[in-house]
Amino acid sequence: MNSHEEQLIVELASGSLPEEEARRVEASLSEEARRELAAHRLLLGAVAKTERPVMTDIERGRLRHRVTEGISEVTRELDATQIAVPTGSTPQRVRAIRWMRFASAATVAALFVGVVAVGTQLQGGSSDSSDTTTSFAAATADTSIAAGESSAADDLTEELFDALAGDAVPPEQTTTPLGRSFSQLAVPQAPSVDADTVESDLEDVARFVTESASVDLAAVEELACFDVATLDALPGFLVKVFTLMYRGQDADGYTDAIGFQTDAVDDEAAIRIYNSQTCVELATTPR
Amino acid sequence: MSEDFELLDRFIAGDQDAFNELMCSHEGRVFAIAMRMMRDREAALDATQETFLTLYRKADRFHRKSAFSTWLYRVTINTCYDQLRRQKRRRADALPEGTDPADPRSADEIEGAELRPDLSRALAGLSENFRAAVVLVDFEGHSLETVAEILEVPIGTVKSRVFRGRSILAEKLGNLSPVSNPPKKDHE
Repeated sequence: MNSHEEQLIVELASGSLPEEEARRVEASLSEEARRELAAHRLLLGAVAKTERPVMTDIERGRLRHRVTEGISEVTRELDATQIAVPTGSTPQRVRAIRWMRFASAATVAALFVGVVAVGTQLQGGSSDSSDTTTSFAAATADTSIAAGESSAADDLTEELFDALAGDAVPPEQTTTPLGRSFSQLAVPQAPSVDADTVESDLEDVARFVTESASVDLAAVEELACFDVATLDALPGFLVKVFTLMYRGQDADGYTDAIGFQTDAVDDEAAIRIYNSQTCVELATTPR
Repeated sequence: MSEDFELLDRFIAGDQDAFNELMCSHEGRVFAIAMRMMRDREAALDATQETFLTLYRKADRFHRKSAFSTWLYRVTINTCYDQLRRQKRRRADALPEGTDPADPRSADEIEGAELRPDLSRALAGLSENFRAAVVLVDFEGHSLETVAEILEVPIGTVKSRVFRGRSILAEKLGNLSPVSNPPKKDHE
């Protein structure tokens, strides 16, 4: 088979020749070339059935975060005149990008339902949480990046936190070593995944936590019940919003309250409270 | 296409939102190409990230002789080539000869994304040039002319690479007896 025939086979199999010409060319092919063409067509049939690889929402979030970080690095390292955006407003300080605002707005909304759920539990006098030190204020800190469109939600959330803080032990008793960067994570419109892929998704979530919160992995692992809690959210995983609502100490030891919004609970955030040494679930709301 | 140019103009004028919009429009396809090329989600994410950082740094060097997407996919393919070469060097440094460096997790991942995992594995066995041609023409559905622009090679070279790539894939998948002419080094 010569290279001319090879090129014709490529075009015939791709269907890029006009119909009449394709018939004529195909009729002129040697036996060997016809066999090759048939094999290529079979292959293309299989290719047509493949799915295009798509990023998960977590991966998309990580990508955007990493690109934003990379841009910040570029602008730090280079003089503004050396990069591709030398005219117009000089981006010495790269603005928080639009999707961060969307993500943040989604988080605020989720925190809202989460806080209502926790508030219900705390104010209902649950024995599991009554002695618990709370650090709700930290949970709102990162929402400051939500500009404009989420300000009303911010106000509402702050009011709720203020109201809840009245019932909480003063912040200086807070035992959290994690800091505010762990306060919230948003993965808007995260799809459900099945149990077969949950292990790898958990790794993705952990990476997302690490990269989004700009903390090291050791600190992520300090969130003791993270993986247990995430698995507990099944069925209905993937967690859309994952929030350390508070960390505190009660008679049983340290506790973590972890807030979820999952497909399973739809609009309602599930709050689970764990003993952070044993990861035994102490309470869940809503039941 | 004109929308891309408009966004590009805005970005070069300093509008960061325009960059974000460009990224939103193209990140899916860039990732898909990177994923087919790299066959590993983390590596594909790295390549996608690097592609957009290159866009950020070098947008003003795009001369608009082709569609913006053509230029962006060229950056993607070149980024993948670079990363594949780096991977090879790392493996050569780190592993004794004959050791299989395959990451079982990444294999599982791509199998989840493909209806034909055997096809995906066969694709990974192609040389970089054949793989890029087959990915762009057969998986991504670009015309031979566009792929010639993306890869910056004559259209005859694209056809040759696609032919060889398909033949090898068909053979590996058992659709065809071994290729009659063994794959030769194509004209670069």
